[in-house]
Amino acid sequence: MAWPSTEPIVDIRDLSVHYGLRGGSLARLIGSDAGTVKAVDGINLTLRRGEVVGLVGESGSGKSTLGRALLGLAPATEGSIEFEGQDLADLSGRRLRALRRDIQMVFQDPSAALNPAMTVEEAVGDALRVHGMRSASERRTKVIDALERVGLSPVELFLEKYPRDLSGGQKQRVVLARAIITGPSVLVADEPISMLDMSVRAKILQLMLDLKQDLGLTYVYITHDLASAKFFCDRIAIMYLGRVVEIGPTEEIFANPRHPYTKALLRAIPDPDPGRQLPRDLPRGEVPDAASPPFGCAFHPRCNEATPICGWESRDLRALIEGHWTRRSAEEYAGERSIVGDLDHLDKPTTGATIGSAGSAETRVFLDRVRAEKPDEPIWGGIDAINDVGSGVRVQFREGVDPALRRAGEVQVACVLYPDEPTGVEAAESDRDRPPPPPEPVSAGINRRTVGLTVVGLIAALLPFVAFAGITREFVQNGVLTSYSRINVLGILGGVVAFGCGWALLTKGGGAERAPWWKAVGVVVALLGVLQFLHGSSLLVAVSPCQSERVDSTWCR
Amino acid sequence: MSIEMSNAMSLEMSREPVISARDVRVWYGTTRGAIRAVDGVSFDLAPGETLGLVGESGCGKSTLGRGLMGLLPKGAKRDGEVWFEGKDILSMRPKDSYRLRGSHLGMIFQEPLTRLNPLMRISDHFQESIKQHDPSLTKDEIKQRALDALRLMGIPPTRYRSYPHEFSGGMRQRLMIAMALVLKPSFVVADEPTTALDVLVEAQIVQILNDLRRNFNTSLLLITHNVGIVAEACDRVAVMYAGRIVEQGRVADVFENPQHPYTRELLRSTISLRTTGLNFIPGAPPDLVDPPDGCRFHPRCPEAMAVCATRNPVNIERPRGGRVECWLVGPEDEIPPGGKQRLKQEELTVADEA
Amino acid sequence: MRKVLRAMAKPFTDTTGTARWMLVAGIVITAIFVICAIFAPLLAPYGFAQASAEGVRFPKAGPPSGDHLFGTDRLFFDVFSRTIWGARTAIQVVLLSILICVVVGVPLGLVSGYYGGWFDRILLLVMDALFAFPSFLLAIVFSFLLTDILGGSVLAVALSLSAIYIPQYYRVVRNTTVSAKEATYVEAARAIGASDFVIMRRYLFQNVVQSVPVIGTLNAADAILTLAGLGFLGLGIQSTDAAEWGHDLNRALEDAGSGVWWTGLYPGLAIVLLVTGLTLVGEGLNETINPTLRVRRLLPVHMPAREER
Repeated sequence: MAWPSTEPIVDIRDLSVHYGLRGGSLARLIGSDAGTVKAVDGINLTLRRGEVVGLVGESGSGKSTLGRALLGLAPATEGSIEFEGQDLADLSGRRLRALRRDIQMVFQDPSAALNPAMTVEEAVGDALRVHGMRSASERRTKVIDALERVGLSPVELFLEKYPRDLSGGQKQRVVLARAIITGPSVLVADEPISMLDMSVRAKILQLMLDLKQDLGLTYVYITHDLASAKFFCDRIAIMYLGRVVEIGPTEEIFANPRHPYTKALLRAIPDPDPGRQLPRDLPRGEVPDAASPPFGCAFHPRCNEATPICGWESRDLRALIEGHWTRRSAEEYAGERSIVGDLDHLDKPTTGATIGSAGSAETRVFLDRVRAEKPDEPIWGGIDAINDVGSGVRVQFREGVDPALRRAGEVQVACVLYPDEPTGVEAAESDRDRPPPPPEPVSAGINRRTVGLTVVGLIAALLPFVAFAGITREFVQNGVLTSYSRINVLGILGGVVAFGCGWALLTKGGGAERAPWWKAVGVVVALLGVLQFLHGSSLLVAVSPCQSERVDSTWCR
Repeated sequence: MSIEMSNAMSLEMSREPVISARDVRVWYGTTRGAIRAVDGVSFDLAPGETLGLVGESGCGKSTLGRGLMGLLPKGAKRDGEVWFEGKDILSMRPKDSYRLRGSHLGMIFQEPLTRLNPLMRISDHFQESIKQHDPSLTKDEIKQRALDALRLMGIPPTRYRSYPHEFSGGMRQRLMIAMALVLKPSFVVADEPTTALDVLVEAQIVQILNDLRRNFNTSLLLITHNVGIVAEACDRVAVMYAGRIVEQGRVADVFENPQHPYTRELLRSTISLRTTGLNFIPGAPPDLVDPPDGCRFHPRCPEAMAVCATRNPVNIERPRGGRVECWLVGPEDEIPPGGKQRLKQEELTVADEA
Repeated sequence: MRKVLRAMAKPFTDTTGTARWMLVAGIVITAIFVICAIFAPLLAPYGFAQASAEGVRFPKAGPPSGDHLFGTDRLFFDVFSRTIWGARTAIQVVLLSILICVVVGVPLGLVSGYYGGWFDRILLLVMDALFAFPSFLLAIVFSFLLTDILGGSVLAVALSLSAIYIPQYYRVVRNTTVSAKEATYVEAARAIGASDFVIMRRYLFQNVVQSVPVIGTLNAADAILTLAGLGFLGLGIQSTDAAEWGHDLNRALEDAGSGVWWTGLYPGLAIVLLVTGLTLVGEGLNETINPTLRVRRLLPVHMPAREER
């Protein structure tokens, strides 16, 4: 086999994709921050021409986001993606779109990935059309060629069909045809077979292998299914909560899994071999909330091989106690609950957790009871001290270690169990122990934009009222309205401007500090704007008919 | 292991089945004609036994599950007999079968969130369903029962007053299972209970389902498309194709020594860790408005014989227990002369693909 | 061509029972009025502002007779002719206003929904404010402002009607766009390198305009009423410019007390019929296009007896 070669085609360096969470309207009003989700968090990955790299992980692992970032569909917050020496971040919108000829994507749900209003020919041909192929007959020739390549023959049978007339496998073939028609070199396949029927999965996988062989493609294969990844990939990156936890050649990963998460995934695959015993030591719990990931190693709360330095914290204590209660009787639970009190405050992650409401000694006794049940839990080793505080105790956890990807044999693993020194450039670069970035400079108090918005907003909201005062006087003196249209326009415009300013203040005001009072100012200005708008427009309705001679004056009385 | 197994087997022989379906049919009326989603299905389920129902999508698995529960949409018609606790539930009055559901028959769905009222606390959900079937219980007794069920599913009692959205996907599915089991029904249908879940959580749920018989002595009909789950969580398996159960028996027997070509091809096309080559079944399941004559699998079958295209296969005893319907297995004496010749099949193209 | 025909026949083939009958009845009624509108010069025996024929003056408020099927009014006009000419005015105004609505409302909704952000918010606010007004008042205001500029023409009335219906088109298209842009096929279009314009034009447009025909026909019915209302108030089109049912009704008001019933009955009847027809079409279309309303046609199942084995 000529490839995989060693020539890199895509080079991902320190890539992070963060999303700001939009809190509810109330949260925004009082200025609390909803936080960010680190969908992809500092990933280094090099794709070599002609290889198949698998990104494997559960939902929320960032595997799909990483795949979309490769096409520039998810904007990189930090780091770079280089395709054949070009950094995607440097490209303008137009150039980036042109680049998508070379990097293409296949989606999980073929039914959703095709425009229901386009025929197969239009859908596949549109990839050519957006890249400037104007001639319909030229497109048709290429579409027929692509459809034949993906096995949709006789082609005439499919050209005029709509997606709803096709089966799942056929639709996925159309999606593949659309992806290969522009002659890409990299194909990102996001769970391409997981929505398909079992009987056709192998067929589509085989087709993808054939296409790779014929067209010299490089694949990024995103999946949650290690079994198909084992068959399909040359290298595999296991991802968890936005990071790569283990990466290496497929054979080595399967023959010798190192990271506890990899081992767990391997054990969890349901196997049709009836002789196999059901695994008893599955990781507990589920993928944690990405908006506030666990301290230390993100996998430690579920890990079977966790150590005292993995980053234990208050939420782990809560899980431990609640787990303990699932094994107690109702009376025991009621008793213990009254000693410990409410646990909800433990959800705020901290290394110093205070629990207990019925006295320090009782709480200590309770903790000992929990400990006696499972003395081997590594969390106990992660506790530095337990001090009496008020009517309870304060549990002080040891500062955890966030393991970097390090070389271990033929693979790289991010786990404290493999503490080998990093070797080589790649490992050094991927070191996560680098100093934290300096905090964002906080502007002194209020910035200029906030002040500007406030002033403009207030003027816009109030000026029409001032003008209206003049008009009213005129009306009272002369008994007629002459300049109604002026004030209406002024009122409506002013209202809109004021509302816009108020809204901007509400969402972006207050500079870096985002102090709550600017939200209050924003609310006032926006409300004034709405009032002015309604006032202006209602005047329009109420007054204007009276100005016309067409209608008898009953309207105005 | 082997002792346990033979124990279970002898138990199965000696005990009356909890539920016993005989020649059940469920058809839907459409403008094109009736869809024969389930067309003559028979099986028994012993107490505490788990039966896995596998097959491709569109072969009638879910319809069968819903048909047993009486949860069919308008325009569907069912007949046959389903004997449950000495009564035929298909011929019951709607009111009686409603009373049976929940307390004696339970159901676990694929999407737990759509089955829970987002405005009701978990405690309210439990109270509602328990009260409906056992109005004599006090609030404390209800809580007691609910907490017991939750505890067995690994949900701590501190979460009893939470709302459904405060739970993660796997917890919600545990909740659904707890709610289905709190009344200790003797028969539960689980329709693809793990499909929407992550790999590790799926394995946790499979484990819970596997432990059901120990904790609740509940018989379970587990509908899934994943043969791996069947192998891990079921005692017996029924392979369904185009509205019929083509092969059923103990999981170990059927998977190690499949008699029906469909079972074999289904197992071969599954991608597992031991996969070394890719196999697939050509073509797609037939249109159930007008299924093929004879054996419904014959257009896709690699070993189809002349008789398969003309005569319905006979349901016979499998060599090692269980049942199968395939002319390759027999009975020899009913195959007309020349019937064993290889059938000339039309070539299946992508145009027929699933 | 075949595709177009099939698409046009779709509402029939997809509906059953009541929905189909509503559609058929609505289309027949509407078609009669459209024919009247197109062939008004041929069908109407006289012009809409004709008070005499061959030098003979028509009777004033003459009852229905052989010469004047629906009688004549106090301005000596033939009521039958005016009713038929009125169809032409109504259809002209309504078609024009719907055209304006679609041309303005659909692209605005598409762009606003696709890009979102402050543009979307402001537009939404303006449209909602317009929407919140009593629509008839708004129409009055606009026809005032516009007749000053454009005179009492069909265009002026059509524009003022558009102003009150644009928010509906905008709203519907914007909301469908907001949900449709999250669809995987839009991301797939982006993945093949499509620009925003291409995505809106080739991917979103066809999927978001599906409810526009329904709003169109329902609005047309509403527009007929608004037009008549404007005419009744003496706004908009003058009786010498064109025949307009609402205006005729206004003039017939005084006749009612003196036992002249024919001047009011026929224009009124025309309004009621056309509105009913359009509403029926709209509701019928709605049932075919809106899948949540569509009832799948279920046929009774007949299970044959089992074969003996």
